Amino acid sequence: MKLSTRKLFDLLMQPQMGVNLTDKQWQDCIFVLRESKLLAALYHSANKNGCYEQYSTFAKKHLVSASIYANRQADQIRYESAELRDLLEHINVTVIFLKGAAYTLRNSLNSHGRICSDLDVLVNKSDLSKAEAHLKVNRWRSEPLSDYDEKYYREWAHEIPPLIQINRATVVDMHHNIYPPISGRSPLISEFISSKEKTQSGCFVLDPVATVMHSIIHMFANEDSSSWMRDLYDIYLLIEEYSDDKFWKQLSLLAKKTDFGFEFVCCMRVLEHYTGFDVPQSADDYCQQIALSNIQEWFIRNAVIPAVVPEHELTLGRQQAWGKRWVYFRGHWIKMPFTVLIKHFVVKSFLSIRDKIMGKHHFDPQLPKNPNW
Amino acid sequence: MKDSPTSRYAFNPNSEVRLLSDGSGLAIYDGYSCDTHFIHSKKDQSALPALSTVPQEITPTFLVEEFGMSKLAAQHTIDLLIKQKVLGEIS
Amino acid sequence: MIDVNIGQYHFSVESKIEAVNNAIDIIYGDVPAQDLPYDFKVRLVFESLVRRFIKPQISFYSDQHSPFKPLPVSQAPALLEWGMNWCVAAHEYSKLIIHSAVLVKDGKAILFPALPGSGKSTLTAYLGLSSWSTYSDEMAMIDPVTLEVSPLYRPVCLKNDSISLVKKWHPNAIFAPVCKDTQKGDVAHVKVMDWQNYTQLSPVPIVAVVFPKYDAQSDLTIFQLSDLEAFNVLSKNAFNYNVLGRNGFDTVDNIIRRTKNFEIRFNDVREVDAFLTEDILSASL
Repeated sequence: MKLSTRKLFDLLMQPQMGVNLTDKQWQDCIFVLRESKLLAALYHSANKNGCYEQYSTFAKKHLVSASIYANRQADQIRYESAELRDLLEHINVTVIFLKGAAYTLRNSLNSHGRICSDLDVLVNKSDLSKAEAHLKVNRWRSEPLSDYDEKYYREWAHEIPPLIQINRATVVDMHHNIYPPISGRSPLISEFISSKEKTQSGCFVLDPVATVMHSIIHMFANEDSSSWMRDLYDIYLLIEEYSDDKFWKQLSLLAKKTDFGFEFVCCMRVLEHYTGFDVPQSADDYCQQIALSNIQEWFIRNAVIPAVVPEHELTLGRQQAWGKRWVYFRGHWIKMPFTVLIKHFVVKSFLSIRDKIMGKHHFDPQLPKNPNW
Repeated sequence: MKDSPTSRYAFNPNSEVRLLSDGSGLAIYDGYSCDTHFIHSKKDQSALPALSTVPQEITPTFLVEEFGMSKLAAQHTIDLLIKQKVLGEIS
Repeated sequence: MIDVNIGQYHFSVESKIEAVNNAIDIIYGDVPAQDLPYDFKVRLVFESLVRRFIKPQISFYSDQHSPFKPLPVSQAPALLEWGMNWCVAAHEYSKLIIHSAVLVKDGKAILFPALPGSGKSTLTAYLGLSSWSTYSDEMAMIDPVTLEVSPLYRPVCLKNDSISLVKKWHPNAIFAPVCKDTQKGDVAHVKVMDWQNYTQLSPVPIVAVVFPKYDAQSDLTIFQLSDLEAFNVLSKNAFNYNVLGRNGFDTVDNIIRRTKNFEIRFNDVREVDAFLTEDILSASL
């Protein structure tokens, strides 16, 4: 019997449930939430609810450690963002922080206990090369890439190759759009940039409507569903915190303008499915306008909803694994013209077959050496 | 460096400064970068430490007198800590 | 699935490698079965199809993650021990964890943070099999509030010549089989206490920090370290110092205010034992 992802959402949303869990039940929840990067989020949810102290010693031991780690990451994000903003202000480039960094800078509910591995930022396309060059003379560098990857970034992607801070190894993904231009679907980025707000730190972030729209696009128009549970919980909390009538009208409008209506519907459906979210009238009206094809209906039921399940042996069944495969194929399909896509898959599947036979680490210089204990 | 030897500097408000009890120097926790820095006293520690409280401000002269640094080393230490945003000039 | 209980943490280990299962039995076999939840679920797996037959390599997985590069199968038992260290160091942030041996006598702990090759583990095995209790060979688990160090139920990891040295000093010591040709040379784990002893241990205060350096040419030489040097070395040797932030800073500061700090050069573990017992322990209240 697999652990139910809905139950895990219930635990996050109604942490009171955790008071009655046995340690063996906690053990499995902790394994899955740890891998899903939601352990510290549960710590904050339980504290907000006031039930944390009633949790078992075993559960508290793991939750508190996860929260300490997440706190440190938040400190680091605030520090790195301030440094980056400062550096780019020298050349009059305004940088907008996205996703995890933005949540932390805004101090929104979903940032409490959130873990993210890199900083995502958005700059005007006209500022991009200037910003990249300026960082590269100020202790940032990028890893040498294969010709294929270099071409992928420079011609097709909405971001440049990751930049790494030489002393601290912080990674920044610098974007000029929120979706790859090669897809032909990248939105008019001014729709997003114009919403920018200054946080208390002095750093810019998108306003809540544009933030949620970006999260929706980032989640549902992509191939990688490995962190979907966390991504969905982000959206759930952002909506909890920021939605009012105006919010829903503006969000529907932005989805329409940017032509990510299907992704908007996907979001409403998975929220309903996993969190019991009650879709408000104006959002529902907009969903009705988007007449889904039978294939799209099938896709939501059989791919999108199952793909939210965390990639963990305790949660992932056959149906969910297939869902993730479908999402993976669609994610690539909608991003690239056919000929490019075929080439992309040939390269990717060669790599994956090679890794299966030879072992993944045979060609991989990235992993650390064995520890010198 | 542009600063004159009379410039005064303070630790940034996020930082935590500890006087090491044997007089070997200062340990500074920088709440901005979360890094730890040290100011190493060059004075002989067999003598009782001269300082009893954490200094509120740092000047090159202070480092020369209390920590036995050369003028050059004092200025260098201060420059480095300014660059790391641990110290800021008091205007 | 095999249970490995290291006292403060409980592992579920999946391994089809006989040498690993054998080593687990030797080192942890005396821990009675308890119905405890697992803190970590780890696996040792063969890396690939081809690799299973040609120069077989194994990887350590903590749940879905593999933190290290794979190693030749001959090193699997050592890889498991290193992997378990990683699990604790990468997930425990309510304690300050210093890369250090911890030896305890008369309810007083001495930390031995050191670089590889310093003779730390040889010293630990010698003392741990004599009149001291080994709280850890690798990780000092320090509570930031009480500043006490708590014990882990782990073996001591010996390398190369020190394996035969310890066997000579303590002929009855229980060793797991030697792993040949690891990056560190030959590696063997030696059991330094039984479970019955371990259950009698409790957290104790730290009275001294000693940085050992083995030097064949040098009789025991003792240097007093300044607080600043001790602060610097302890913070640099802590696995999770940076994650603990200000709490890590305060903890190290509080430790060194209470400890005597030394660096020693030695070529005879017995001299070190005498120094620790007569000069450090008896002088501290």
